Amino acid sequence: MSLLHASPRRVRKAPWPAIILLSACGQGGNVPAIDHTSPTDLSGVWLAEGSNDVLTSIDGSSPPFTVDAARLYQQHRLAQQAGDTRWDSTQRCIPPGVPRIMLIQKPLEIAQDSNLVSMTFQYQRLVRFIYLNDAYPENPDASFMGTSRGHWEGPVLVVDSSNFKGGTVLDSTGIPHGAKLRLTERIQRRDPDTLSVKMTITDEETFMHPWQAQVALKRQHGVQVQEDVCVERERIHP
Amino acid sequence: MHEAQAHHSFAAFDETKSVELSGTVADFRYTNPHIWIDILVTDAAGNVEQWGIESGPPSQLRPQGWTADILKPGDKVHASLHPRKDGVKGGSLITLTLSDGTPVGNRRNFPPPRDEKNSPEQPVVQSNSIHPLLKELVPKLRFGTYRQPAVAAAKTPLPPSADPRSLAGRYFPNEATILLPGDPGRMLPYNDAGAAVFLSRANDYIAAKPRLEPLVLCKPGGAIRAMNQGFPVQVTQTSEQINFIFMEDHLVRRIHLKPVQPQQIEPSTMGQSFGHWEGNALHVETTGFRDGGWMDEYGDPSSAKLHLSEVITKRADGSLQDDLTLEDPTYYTGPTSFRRTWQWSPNSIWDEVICEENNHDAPPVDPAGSKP
Repeated sequence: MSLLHASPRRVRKAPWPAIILLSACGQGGNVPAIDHTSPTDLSGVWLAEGSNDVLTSIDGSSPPFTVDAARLYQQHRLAQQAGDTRWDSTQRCIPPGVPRIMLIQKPLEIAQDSNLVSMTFQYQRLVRFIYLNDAYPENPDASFMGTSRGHWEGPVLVVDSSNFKGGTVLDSTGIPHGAKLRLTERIQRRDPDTLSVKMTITDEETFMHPWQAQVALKRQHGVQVQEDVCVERERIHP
Repeated sequence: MHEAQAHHSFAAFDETKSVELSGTVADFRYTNPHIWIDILVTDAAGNVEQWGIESGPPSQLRPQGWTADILKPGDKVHASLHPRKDGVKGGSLITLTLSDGTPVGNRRNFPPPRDEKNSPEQPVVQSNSIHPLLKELVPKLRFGTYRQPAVAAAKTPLPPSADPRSLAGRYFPNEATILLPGDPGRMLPYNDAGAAVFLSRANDYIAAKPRLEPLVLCKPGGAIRAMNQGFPVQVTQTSEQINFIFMEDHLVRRIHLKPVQPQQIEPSTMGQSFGHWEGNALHVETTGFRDGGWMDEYGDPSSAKLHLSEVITKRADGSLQDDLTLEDPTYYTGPTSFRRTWQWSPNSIWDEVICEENNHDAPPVDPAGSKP
């Protein structure tokens, strides 16, 4: 690496000595060699294990809804039992947002370098960028996938996400959220074929206090992410 | 209800005419790929009319000071717009002020002045050999670009990697044309079928008759259209795979650098791409396309027999160069080659562009695919 190309910006260095991050130098990344022995190598194709698009708290309790949010959640449940899922905007091909996209039973692919962890989802071809430093500008506008910033704490990728658009739910049971949703994910490779994602969900308009949920992702050997066209599989109704 | 389409060119508007309106904002949607303002206008007889006004994407408006809350229902505004050609009450925004004359945003004129060098107002010059069906059409075609101005955040730029095989990073296209291959004097080598399909689509495009083309239906435009689009591209790279992620319509091209396990892959608009390095040049072969492709805005057709060959190189200034050659015996008599380049552009802001969000007024979805 030549000094000529060294950026003046300070880049958060991974304390974990992983080959994949040796090229961290605040410039367009060198080609990261895939090192499946490294616990900070998250690259590959993954699929949520057994979550079935349902967000489950770590301690098995129900989310600590505020009174209003509990009422709204109950409305979603009753409507769903009656066959009415209009509250679910994914049926109009609105992106499911985060964390729901992490729970959906379609593969996702992770690629990473020293500046960016990218998640490209088969579901609706959605994209989630996790910025690891200031290499790329932040978008000031709210989005369905939110704005995500990450850093490494040892072998754990800690991701903080906010700036979400409203109008989505957190899972297929209809857990609501507001625009003040914040999500912290601790993503860790438990073994070469398993990613554990521990989430802390904070939204003072919806929940009395932060609560935790988790999902495990399993590596999909030999699986390619295919093209998904939402408007061909969903019925669009305004 | 307006016949709004989620995703379209601005050919539906009559740029030779302008309409002045004073009214009250009923709705403001700061959405991609077009923002939308409903304005209620009371005419001389006291009737209230609703006008639907469109403009560019937030990425284009943001540098002019626009935000998601710059307008709210009830605001009194004065708008100047190019009206729709079909007579529906609506148009594309030229200027917008509050009723006291304060401009909305920090500029009086919208959209930004057109880049005349790349203006769509340049005619296609008669090409050497053109299919006889297209002789009357050719003078009406415009080859120009619809590239958006680069929108950059003010910050210290990230320099490109010095490694000629490291493509990872964010880029912005230098060319994006509404007609392939994109230079005056050259057209695709249509066979009889290709000329017939193109003539029908291009005549509707010129007449601003809406066609249910993939982008209007919020479907992906395919690999060639994606590589010819005027919006940022993020490239990610591992030793096994290079992905081109396109901001527009969240399209992803996955280029496999290693053999993949056999898997039943449905034909797709992006196709299936395999690449290998020859020196510092990435050679990519793509097949496995879907039928019914529209390779550009005019509607150059492609079929499942489309074969795309590319040589992608990184230039000394960090930009990318892609020499594309397409062949499709269903519609063309031989191969066509053209070049697209992307500048290194780490400061480009990445927008979430969800066509489906703005699709409530689109025609009913046809699951069978759009009309060829």
